[in-house]
Amino acid sequence: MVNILKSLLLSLIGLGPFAAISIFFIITMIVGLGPDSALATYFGDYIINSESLADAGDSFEDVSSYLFRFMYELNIALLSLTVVMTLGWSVGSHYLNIDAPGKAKIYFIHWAIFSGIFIALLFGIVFYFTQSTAYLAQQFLSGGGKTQIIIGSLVLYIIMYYAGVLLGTARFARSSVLLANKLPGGF
Amino acid sequence: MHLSFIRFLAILIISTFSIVEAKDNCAPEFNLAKPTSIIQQENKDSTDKSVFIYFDQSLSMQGYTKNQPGHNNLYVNVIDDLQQIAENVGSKTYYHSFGKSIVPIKENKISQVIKPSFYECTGSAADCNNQESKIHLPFKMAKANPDGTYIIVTDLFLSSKQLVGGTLSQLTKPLKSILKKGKSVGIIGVMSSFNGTIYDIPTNEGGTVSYTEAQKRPFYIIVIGDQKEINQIKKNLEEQHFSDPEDKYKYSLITSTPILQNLNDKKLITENNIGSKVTKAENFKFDYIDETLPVYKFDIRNKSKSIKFKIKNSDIIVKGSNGVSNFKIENTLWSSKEDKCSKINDDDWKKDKRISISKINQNEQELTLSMFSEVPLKKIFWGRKYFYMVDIYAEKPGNASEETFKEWSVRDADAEEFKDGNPVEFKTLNLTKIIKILNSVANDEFQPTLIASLALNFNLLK
Repeated sequence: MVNILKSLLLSLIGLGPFAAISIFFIITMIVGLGPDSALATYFGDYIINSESLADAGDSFEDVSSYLFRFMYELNIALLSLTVVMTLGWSVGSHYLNIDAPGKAKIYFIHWAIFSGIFIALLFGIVFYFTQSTAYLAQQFLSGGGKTQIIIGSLVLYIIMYYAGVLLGTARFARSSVLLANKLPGGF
Repeated sequence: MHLSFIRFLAILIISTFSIVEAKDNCAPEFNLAKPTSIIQQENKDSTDKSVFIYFDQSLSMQGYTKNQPGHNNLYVNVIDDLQQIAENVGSKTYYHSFGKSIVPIKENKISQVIKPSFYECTGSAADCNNQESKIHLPFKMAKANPDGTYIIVTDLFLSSKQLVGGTLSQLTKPLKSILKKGKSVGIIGVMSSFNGTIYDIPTNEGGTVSYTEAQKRPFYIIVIGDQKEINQIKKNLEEQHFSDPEDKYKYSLITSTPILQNLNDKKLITENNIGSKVTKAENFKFDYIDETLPVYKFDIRNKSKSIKFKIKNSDIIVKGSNGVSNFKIENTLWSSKEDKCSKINDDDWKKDKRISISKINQNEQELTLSMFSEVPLKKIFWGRKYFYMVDIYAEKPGNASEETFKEWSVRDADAEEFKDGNPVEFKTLNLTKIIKILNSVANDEFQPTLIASLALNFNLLK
């Protein structure tokens, strides 16, 4: 049990810096951006489809509330998924009990499948937000903006997950996580 | 006390509903396009009207008066009845002949028009009225007294020389003035038997020859007046003379106002004009706002294709006229993020910058406005309320009459060759050119005319 709690703590340490970025971003979106802020300008220039909005007689300010809601709900969903999956693996890795020749490989297969499921869910959520009609703001995004959101989200949350499982995986199962066995012994 | 309270309550309820109804108009502030005045002269009482009939006295007309065995002589029949037809239109009829000049015909001599002797002249060629036909003279008379109705009977056999320069402007100037006053020119071409000589057929060398072998040849009744009178004369002729399927006649109306009416004036736009996609849509409602603007209210999915709005040509185009070759649409699209009418403020309506949203097409039967064909519904934001207003204008008149009469026309350059083919049915020299000239004058006077205005008020659903 102590080992599990230790794993959870290490996992949270791994998640921490990236989750902080995500949480900061979510809070910023909930609070709202000033029209002159750098992020608002970036959104206006690169994320939204300014031409379509201008055609409709709208400006970024007119749709910003929809967009901010879209962004924070997307990030809350992704952050929740990442934290749950990371902590889930960290706890679950303690219950992996493989005693067979080439067990390192079998551990890796377990982790790869679990990570594959995580990435598939990540993709699913991002696509649900950006490609379906669930959110009104989706139609205000440009093609390039959607690509940036998809890539940015995948990169941030996959790295976050990786950092979490890298530190949080049970010591005996570290061979399952890519490069985890390179960690110093103190971890 | 009790009664007063009930009254107060009733007034309160009624006024509340009035406010809700006004608010429920759910439209941005817009200016209704002003209908273009369609100048169609009010018909005066026929008892005040004079009818002036002009007979072409040129010698080429003589052949119409002589019977040709095996062919129906419509000229004699029609001219015989023209007096009675003219009396239906006006109170007093004045008869003239024209050639080199206009000469009044005494009432007791009118019957002579269908006799060969009417076209003969025993005097010197210089004194005779049968050597040429100055068709511009009756037009000049019509210009001078536009209140009358003018009927010109002629073979319209005009050489190219008569259709250029000063001679042409003698015809076009009065015509322009006539059309400007809201009058129209009806041309009824009738194929009749012919037994005589056709003079002044141009040759390729520059001279003229005559032809005597023609058995049929068209003559023309040109009516200058109000559209209603022209139609009346045409109808009378059709009923009395052109009932036999073998009788060939053609009709065209030269007018600067080929538009029959503005459909909004008499609230002629109904639910039937728009496609079933709209009428069967959720929350469909049709109503007129601001007295004359028809508004279709509905909910529609953003995956829907264009919305069709159809108008029958017969509802907007004057029958027999050149029609309209080009239509123009002026449209404005507003959107509101708030889709509940009761919550929309004036500031919520944003005007869309796109201009080319819909397109318009015309076929022989109808005019079709395909709304949201240029900017499809899937390209505009769903989850909003839209108000789309369209004004349809007739922009350019057509040239249907040129096609109508093309079959009976022969060009100067082809006249000799045509004659050398010994035709039984002889064509009219430069007829298409004449019609083209008349059309171009009418087109110059044409003003873009507002045909219809309509609006769509819809929620675009995902």
